Amino acid sequence: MKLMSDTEYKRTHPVAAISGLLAAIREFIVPIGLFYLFGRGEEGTNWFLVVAIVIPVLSSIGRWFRFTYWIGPNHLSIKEGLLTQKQVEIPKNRVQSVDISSGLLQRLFGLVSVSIQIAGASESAVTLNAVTKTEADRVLTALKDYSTVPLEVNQPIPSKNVLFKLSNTHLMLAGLTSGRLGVILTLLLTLIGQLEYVYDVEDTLDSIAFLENWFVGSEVELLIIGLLVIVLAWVLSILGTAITYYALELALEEKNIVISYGLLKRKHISVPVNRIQAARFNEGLLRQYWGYGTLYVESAGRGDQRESSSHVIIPFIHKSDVNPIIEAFIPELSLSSFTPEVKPPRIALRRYLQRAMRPIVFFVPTILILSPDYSWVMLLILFILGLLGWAQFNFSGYRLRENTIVLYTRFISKNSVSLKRNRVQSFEIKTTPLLEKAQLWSFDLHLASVNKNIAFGLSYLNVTDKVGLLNWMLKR
Amino acid sequence: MENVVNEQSRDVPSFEPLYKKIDAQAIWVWRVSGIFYLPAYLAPVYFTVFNWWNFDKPLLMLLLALLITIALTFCVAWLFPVFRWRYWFYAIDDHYVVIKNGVFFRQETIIPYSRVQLVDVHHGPILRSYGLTTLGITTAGGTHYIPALSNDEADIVKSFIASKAQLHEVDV
Repeated sequence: MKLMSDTEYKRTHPVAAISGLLAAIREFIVPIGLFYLFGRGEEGTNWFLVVAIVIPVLSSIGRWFRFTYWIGPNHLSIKEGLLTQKQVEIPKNRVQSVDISSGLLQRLFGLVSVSIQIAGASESAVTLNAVTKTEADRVLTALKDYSTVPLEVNQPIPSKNVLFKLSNTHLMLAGLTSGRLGVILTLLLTLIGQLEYVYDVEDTLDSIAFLENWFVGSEVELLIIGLLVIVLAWVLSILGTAITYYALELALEEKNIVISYGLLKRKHISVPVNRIQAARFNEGLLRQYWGYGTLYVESAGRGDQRESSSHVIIPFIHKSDVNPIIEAFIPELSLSSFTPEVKPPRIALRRYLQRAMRPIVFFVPTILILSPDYSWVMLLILFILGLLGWAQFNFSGYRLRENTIVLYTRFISKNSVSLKRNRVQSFEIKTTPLLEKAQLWSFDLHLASVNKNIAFGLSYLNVTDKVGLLNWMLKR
Repeated sequence: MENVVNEQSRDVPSFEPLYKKIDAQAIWVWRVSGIFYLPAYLAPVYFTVFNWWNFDKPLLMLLLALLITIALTFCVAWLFPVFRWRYWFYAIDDHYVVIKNGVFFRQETIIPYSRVQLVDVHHGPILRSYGLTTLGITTAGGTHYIPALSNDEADIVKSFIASKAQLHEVDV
């Protein structure tokens, strides 16, 4: 039987040097850009530019040249380093998973990137930045050989059992309605604040000053800037979502769900079906009205060291299409209906309102101190929070089935989660003396998690529901 | 309510655990450890007092600070541990362990044996000097503790849970 090990150290494809260079550029572009814009000297600049370009290029080539790998029967060995060479030996048993993906650069040359995840070593992952597909397969086989630990592989799979493909329309809609808007908006606003030093904002505004004739007052400038910023943020968030989830495909392959997505860097994630603890459908604020949302699965992690995690399996889907997909791989977790069966009692409404209004405490001091004339804003905030609390109360409850429970909660977005009873690690009942008097209680169901504390629960339910739930929880 | 329970199928257990209290010495253990936490409680109080320091009446402020220190120390290092002990319970049932604690924010955690991955004992230096141990019950979702059991009691409970956890197959 031929030993699938190497006789000598191998180098990755030269394209890896380019990808290394790109990575270096990405790291240094911001400081170099800022330096160039703000720290302009007179003479030194040209030399600086030359140095800033030549050195990364040379070092990337050098690093590529000095990176070699060798796969033997029991371990794999990596030699890397530009000036000082470092040799790392990794026993095959420590290899947890292999990700085979391809970024834009790799796809241009028909290559792939192999990322080897290692459990508990000084470097958690070894990446062969660019290798041919044949070489990647050879590496994969060589790693699987003589390894006592089953290897988890994330790689593009032939689209046989594709359960779902994300249409481009849905992709655009997802970008339009995603929550990223807020984050991008904040980032843009901070950037705008810095722009003052580079561009003469007044000049730009003069060109649109004609609009001032339509409105009165200098607030126009602020308004226009504000609108532009919002539009820009929206466009960026659409782009961001579109690039991340481009051409998402969901497939069922050998007891794994495999999700492939991405335009620039195509990612493949495989989640073993038997590690799935829960399925969650989240309807964000902008999507709720039309019944669209994101589908996640909560997995218990793979093996001892793998973190439990929440994976997006479909970023944008209508609720009526959700169950056929879930039923295709894990019928017990079907979300059946999107309305609760057992809900909190009327008397709990007050508690929901109170709980939603708690954040007002943060606003009170700032508003009172900074602008007491605007204290009516507090009432407005209270009203909005009250509405939120009422909405939370309305979409709260559960649905019990033979072996699963579906929990419905709302923070701002609606969450419907279905959990299997035999995945629940512990059942926590929470009360206070005041709640007990009102005959209310809350609970949390804890799931398997390594570092985080993943739990799903409901608040302020009627105590008459407690017996039923406990009995369901304790069934064997 | 009773009728609802009886109408369920026979092999579904009803929930009436026999709660036991943890060792009373726990009060002293918590008192001692409370002293270590005192600075954390006192610091913010001193900070606010200092901010609102009225220089016209320094004696009054000093008196105030002293009163607050005494009050807080009494609460944290003497009184609270008593309440904590009064509301700390655990129950070892046929199929699950229940841990119940909290004076105002009360939580009752039910852990089925089938989810228990391991049971172990912890001895902090303070606990050890009182001859007590803390039992840790680990599931895939985290560890739950029963603090301050006497060493013998801890051993008995640990062996019991360990044997129970093996009889039922561990699912996750």
